[in-house]
Amino acid sequence: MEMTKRINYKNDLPNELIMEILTRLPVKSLMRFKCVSKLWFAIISNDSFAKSHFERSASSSHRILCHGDGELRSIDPDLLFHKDPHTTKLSIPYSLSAYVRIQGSCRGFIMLQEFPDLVIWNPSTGVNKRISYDHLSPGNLESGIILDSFMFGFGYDARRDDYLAIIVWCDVNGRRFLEYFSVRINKWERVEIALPRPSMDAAASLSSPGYYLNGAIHWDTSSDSILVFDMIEREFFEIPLPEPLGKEFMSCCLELLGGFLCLSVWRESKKTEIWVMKEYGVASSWTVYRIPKSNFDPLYFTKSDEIIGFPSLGGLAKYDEKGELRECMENWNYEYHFWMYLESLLSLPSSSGIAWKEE
Amino acid sequence: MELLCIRQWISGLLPTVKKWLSAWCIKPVGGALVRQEPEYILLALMGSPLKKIMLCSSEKEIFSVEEQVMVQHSVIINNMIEDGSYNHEESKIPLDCVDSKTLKKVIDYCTHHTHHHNDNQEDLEAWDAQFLNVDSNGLYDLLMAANYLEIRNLLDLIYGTIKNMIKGKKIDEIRRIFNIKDHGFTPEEEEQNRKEYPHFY
Repeated sequence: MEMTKRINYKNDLPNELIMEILTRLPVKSLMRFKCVSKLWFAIISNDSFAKSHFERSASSSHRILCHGDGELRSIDPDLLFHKDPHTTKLSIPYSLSAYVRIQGSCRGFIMLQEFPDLVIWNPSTGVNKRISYDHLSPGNLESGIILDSFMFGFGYDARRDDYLAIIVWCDVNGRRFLEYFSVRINKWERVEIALPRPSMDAAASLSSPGYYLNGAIHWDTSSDSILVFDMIEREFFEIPLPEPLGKEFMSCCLELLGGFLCLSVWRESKKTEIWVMKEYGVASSWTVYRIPKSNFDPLYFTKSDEIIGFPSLGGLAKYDEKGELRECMENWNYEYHFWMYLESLLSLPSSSGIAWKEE
Repeated sequence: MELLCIRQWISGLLPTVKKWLSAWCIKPVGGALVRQEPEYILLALMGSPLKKIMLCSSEKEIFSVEEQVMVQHSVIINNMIEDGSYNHEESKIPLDCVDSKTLKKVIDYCTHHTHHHNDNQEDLEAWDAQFLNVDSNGLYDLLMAANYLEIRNLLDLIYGTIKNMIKGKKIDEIRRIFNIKDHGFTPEEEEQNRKEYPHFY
């Protein structure tokens, strides 16, 4: 077996150069290399290293979380069409059941929800934190809450370097509240709010996960616009649906694909339109992909502007921007739930300044 | 024509061609954004001898190299020339931490990349791969030299190579590659790691 040559023979490499090397490695390798030496362990576990590593590699570290059959798996989206996609099995923290729902992801963290718990979890490092929203169970409040009205979200506040878990809920009198948990302050706060448009009120009672992008959480409402919560200003806004979309459609679902807001539109025809907002917040940047299959469920948007998703009759398919089929695979015939997340070494801030590492 | 005459002639032309040349004069080669004096570009175009600078290795060997080449690649040398601390007539730049063998390699890299920067990507990458086919000691020396001289593209090339060398390797192999004799874990910690993650080792 050919031995890889040594890099140095004279002295140890200076720490800054070791950091430059480590900063270019993927998260998976780094988690392993924590065992190389005490010095490497210290560098890799360091918060600022995690932050600069994340900033450097964020665009290339997408993974797909696949939830089904009581199991959680992590898949590399670039290997979706390979015979052996190298899926990694993950253990669900706190033995949450198979009914656990994924309610948001942000900077490498995923928020899992199963009443009465929310769990913020980094699948790449195992770091997790459990938050209880037991105080929102019907028995605990004076005015009844409408359980069906819960909208969850999870996001990052860049100004305060804090993560917020959010629940928007409605009471029987029609008053709407924003309940948020700040990881730094470590407690729940509640604020009465109004949605930007009254027409959203009826629609927003549909439980929809929040998609975090560009410092804001986005929810699907069955109205003319996307509901947006700005993490820094702590206010609600809206992004209107593209005008060319019109109003003649059977359904229009909000998705977050590979870092872009997307609308999955089914009309009477045998096509699915995927509207991709190529530039965040720019109305003229909505671009349509016409997929020649009805009920096509998109999964991922690749770097080469291709869409991967599930045609309704089963399998997995990849289409380019002209709607031409590039690749397909037959054996994806199961009812799994998929969610995109990023790989990161980041840990949660705490009010005492030490990273949370509950097991 | 004598050099002095050339310079006078160019100075006469300058007002008209300066604007045209100023677009050419900004050369983002090797990550160091550098402005060249229009006179020297014209001189180069006319085939006159280019300005050379002297670099002195740790073994006191002098290497003469085109100023333009080093200034485009090394932030350190570029700064020295720009702030005037290098006097062309008398000085040489002492590089006490770079030996002759390594300095020659570094100059080789910078010269090739300046003269061939219009080549297609594949050819450049093939040349780079051949360039880094050094013995085990050489990679370390090159890395330290590139770091000292702040040659961004050479550093990225070396880091990329090292990354590929170690990605996916076992812990014992990594320790050998980096010559880590004392990993710093207590015997109990090391044993715990090996028990918990046997497939890493």
